[in-house]
Amino acid sequence: MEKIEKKEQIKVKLDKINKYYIGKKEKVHAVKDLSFYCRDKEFVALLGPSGCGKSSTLRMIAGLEEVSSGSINFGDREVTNLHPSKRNIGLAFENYALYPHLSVYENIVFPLRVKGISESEIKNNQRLNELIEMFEIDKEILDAYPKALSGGQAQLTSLVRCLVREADVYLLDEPLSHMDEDMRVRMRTTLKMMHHKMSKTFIYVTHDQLEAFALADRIVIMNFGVLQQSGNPRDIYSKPANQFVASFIGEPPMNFLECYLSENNDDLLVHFGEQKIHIPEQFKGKIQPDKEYILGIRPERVHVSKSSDDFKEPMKAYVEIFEYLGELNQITVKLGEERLITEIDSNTQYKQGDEVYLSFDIHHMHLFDKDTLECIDYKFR
Amino acid sequence: MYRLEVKNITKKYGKLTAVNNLSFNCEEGETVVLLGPTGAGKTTTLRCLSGLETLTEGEIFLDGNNISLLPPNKREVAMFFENYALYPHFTVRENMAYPLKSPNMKGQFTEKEIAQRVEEVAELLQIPELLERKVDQLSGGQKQRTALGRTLVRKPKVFLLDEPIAHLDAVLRHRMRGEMKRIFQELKCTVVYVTHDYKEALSIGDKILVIKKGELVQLGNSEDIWTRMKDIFVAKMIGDPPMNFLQGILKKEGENYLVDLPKIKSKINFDSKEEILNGEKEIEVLMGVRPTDVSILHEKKPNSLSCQLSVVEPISSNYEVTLSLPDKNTFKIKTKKNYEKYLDQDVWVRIDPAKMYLFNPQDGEAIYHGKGNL
Amino acid sequence: MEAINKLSIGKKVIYYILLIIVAVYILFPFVWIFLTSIKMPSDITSFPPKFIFNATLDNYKNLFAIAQTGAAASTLNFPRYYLNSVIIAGFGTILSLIIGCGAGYALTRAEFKNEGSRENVGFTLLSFWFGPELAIILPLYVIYNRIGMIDKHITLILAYQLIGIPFVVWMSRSFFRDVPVSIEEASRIDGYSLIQTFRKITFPLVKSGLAATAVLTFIFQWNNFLFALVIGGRNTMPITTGALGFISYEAVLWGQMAAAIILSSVPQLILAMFVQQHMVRGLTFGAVKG
Repeated sequence: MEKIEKKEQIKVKLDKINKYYIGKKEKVHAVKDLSFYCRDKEFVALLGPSGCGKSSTLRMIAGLEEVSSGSINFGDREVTNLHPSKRNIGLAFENYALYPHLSVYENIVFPLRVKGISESEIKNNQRLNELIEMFEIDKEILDAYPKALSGGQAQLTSLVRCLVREADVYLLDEPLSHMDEDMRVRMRTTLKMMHHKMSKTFIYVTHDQLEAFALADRIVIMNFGVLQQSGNPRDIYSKPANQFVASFIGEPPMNFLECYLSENNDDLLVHFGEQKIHIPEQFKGKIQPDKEYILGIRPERVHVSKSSDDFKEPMKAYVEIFEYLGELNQITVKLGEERLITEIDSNTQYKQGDEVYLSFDIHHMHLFDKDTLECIDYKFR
Repeated sequence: MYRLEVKNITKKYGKLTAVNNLSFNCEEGETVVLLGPTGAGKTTTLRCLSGLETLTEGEIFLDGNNISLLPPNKREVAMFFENYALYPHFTVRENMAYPLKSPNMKGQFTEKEIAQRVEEVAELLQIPELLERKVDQLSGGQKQRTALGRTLVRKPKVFLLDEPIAHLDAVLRHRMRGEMKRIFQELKCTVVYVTHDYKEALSIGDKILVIKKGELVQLGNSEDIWTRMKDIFVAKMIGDPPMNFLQGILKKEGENYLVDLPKIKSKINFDSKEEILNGEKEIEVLMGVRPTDVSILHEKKPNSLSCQLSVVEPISSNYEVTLSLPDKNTFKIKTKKNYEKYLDQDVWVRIDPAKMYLFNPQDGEAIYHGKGNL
Repeated sequence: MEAINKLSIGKKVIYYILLIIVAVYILFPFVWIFLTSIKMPSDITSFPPKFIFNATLDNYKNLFAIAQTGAAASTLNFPRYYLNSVIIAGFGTILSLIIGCGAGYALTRAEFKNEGSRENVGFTLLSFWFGPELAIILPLYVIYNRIGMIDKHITLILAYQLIGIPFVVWMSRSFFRDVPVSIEEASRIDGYSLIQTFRKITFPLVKSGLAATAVLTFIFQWNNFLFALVIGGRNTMPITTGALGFISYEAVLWGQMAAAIILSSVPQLILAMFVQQHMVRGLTFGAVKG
């Protein structure tokens, strides 16, 4: 766990949250001892594959699910058993739940009407007008009814309705998932801009690592109900705590090679297949020779050249698949029995079967314990 | 002689024209990609090639034979459906063996040969352990590979694939894109591949047809589509993030050209040996700039646009920076640097004229491709 | 059942009592008839009703005996009635299935002007099932009489199509609709003709649904009374009308009537149990990505 900041800065705090579901045959432990916090004005993403417990966690923060054990605090208010309506939150769920008998505009201003705000005040509500403008909701859509909307437009309406109210924390569960790709990318950027303008705490659930990565100030990654790592996107990308995080974040995904290490006086070597290369000194003492490890290296850290002279420790490989992608080229190379993906600039072209030389950027390489899958270098980066 | 010749095919549904006068050739072992947004008529074209739809006009030749009037079961093509269309009451093995047991093939293969062939293809697609499973026990990715296997067992003359990886999750999609290219190359398949994803098109296609509302917009190889777009429609489809477009007026200033961008109060100067204005004094243009072809400056320099840094989104090893222009439009940049600390500040974006594209706003035609992109 | 197990004992008892009451209400008539069928005539009419008695199979035996006493007996021919029911309902069902499935399949696959007209045609066909039999029974009688078709098996078989075809069309349509067109298309491309595709792909997927439909159609046609009464004749009497013969001027042969009813229910019971198995299975098995 990271160091706890000053109390006033913490907007949401989860302490050892557990959630059990009674299934058909046994109890399902959906969320296990989860503890994390969100600072004021922070955009926090709860990220993980489906079934990892992120939606359950969000629902507990919202008050829609009972907490089996543990506590949730908003600032210094304990809200663990408080009814959702008393928590002062904004909610946007994946399944929009729009009022079918109200137009889009009526749906959006509903939270304001409920609060008793007058019609003229609503018209002049700065946040409302900003939202409508920035999310590009034109008059035609505002007058339409939910029945006539596409999935993406309905979701957008639900999202805007959530943001229009004044709340302490905004909770969003996959609010862009039904939009087509173009719309989703645009709305993602707009959402981030909106968050910046609103300066409020957002908690956002998604299984899409690209989305979490682009939007969040801090990402909380979960798997099987357990917190894997919590940190800002850059740190999670370059300093993953374990192999799950390393493989989940980043596109194209990280390359993994099975290897073992040897320590010979001052020579620290990692062996995979027929190859062996040196690894940085920092690993000294932290590794056990002849134990099995997994080497992880991101595609952009694998360098390719036609000649072996370009690298200190060149490794011979063959081009298996060459993909011209316009702004860059992606090649899949075969190194012994292993396959690696790497990215190169668009000026160099290769053909299937070409012989090339690889070099690893060893200072951006990771080693994972094969049994625990923990990242060895996490501790000293 | 071409493997597949498509000659001026048109398909109409009553008053609606789904495919309009489309022609292309596919050589043996070649992969032709039909690239376009949803509703462009790509799937309809594929269905016409397979025989599931009849042609309103035009002809299709396979190995020199006119197959335009043949029913689907006599055309020797294999098709991959976007929704996989697996036979729900069969196992994976039975699904894959089904084409080999068709009435057309009666007697051609023994039971043993069929089993062998199925197992071969299953190995190739890395699903041999799934052969005895029922279809409803498979994951999305496994279903996709089973459907692919079903097309590969037969060794048909042409493979027709309709968005084969569109519904896989991102990681799997990435991997299958490369895998499919490798398989097609290894087996020397003749493929017609439909997609809306430009990356798939560039990576897999030997030849790419960009299609809009049933009509051909551009036919070319990956480089043609990426650097020598004929039309703004093509330019809008490619790039991640897509190209930025600005409204401007092209004039001549002495020997050089000038693109005046009045809405954002900027000017771009460049010289070119081409005659772009075609005798006019000035013309309206849409300027296209790739997110990767611009740089951010902290002070005003020539050929730069003034804007405000609004959003920084990290994307894997890069950053997507969104800039707000004076006319309230946005401009996206892709860079390796982290500009987070310059949020809300005024910055300038330098445009390199050598990497700039100009389009005619009326008909979308490309009139300038930057230097070196001829 | 799990939900019940979670309840307290008190609530459990109440639920079980309610279930028993409902079960008794539904099953009692059947049990009573069965008991009647194995009672001696004296036991049948005794009051208060006897639940403990000496069982006898005489009623069943007498159904098959040609010689009986009394006027009622001379016209009774139970085996004949049973056979008629089997022939009429059996062939009637087969005919309904063939025509109905064909129409049902066409409704889902053929090209219509628009979806609205597809629905209209479908509903029109279904509406024949709603039509009251009484409304058409007289004109039907007149027509059949004119062409001399009263008292032939084929007459009833054809008349029953009015019940059978709309029902089969409606049911089979929903089953065929659940078979995605794309898998039939895939089969065509894989080298199979339309008919072969139907045999190998479509039919296996609707088999169980069609079996259930066939059974229900058979039961409806077996139980029909009105058509049999008006258009049927002495030689073509099925059990439904034939059972009337147990009521005569002299006596009502309750016991034999009860036995006839029990025997008449047997095929329906067997078929219904068979149907139940197949009704449970789903159809598409997740073969399509959506």
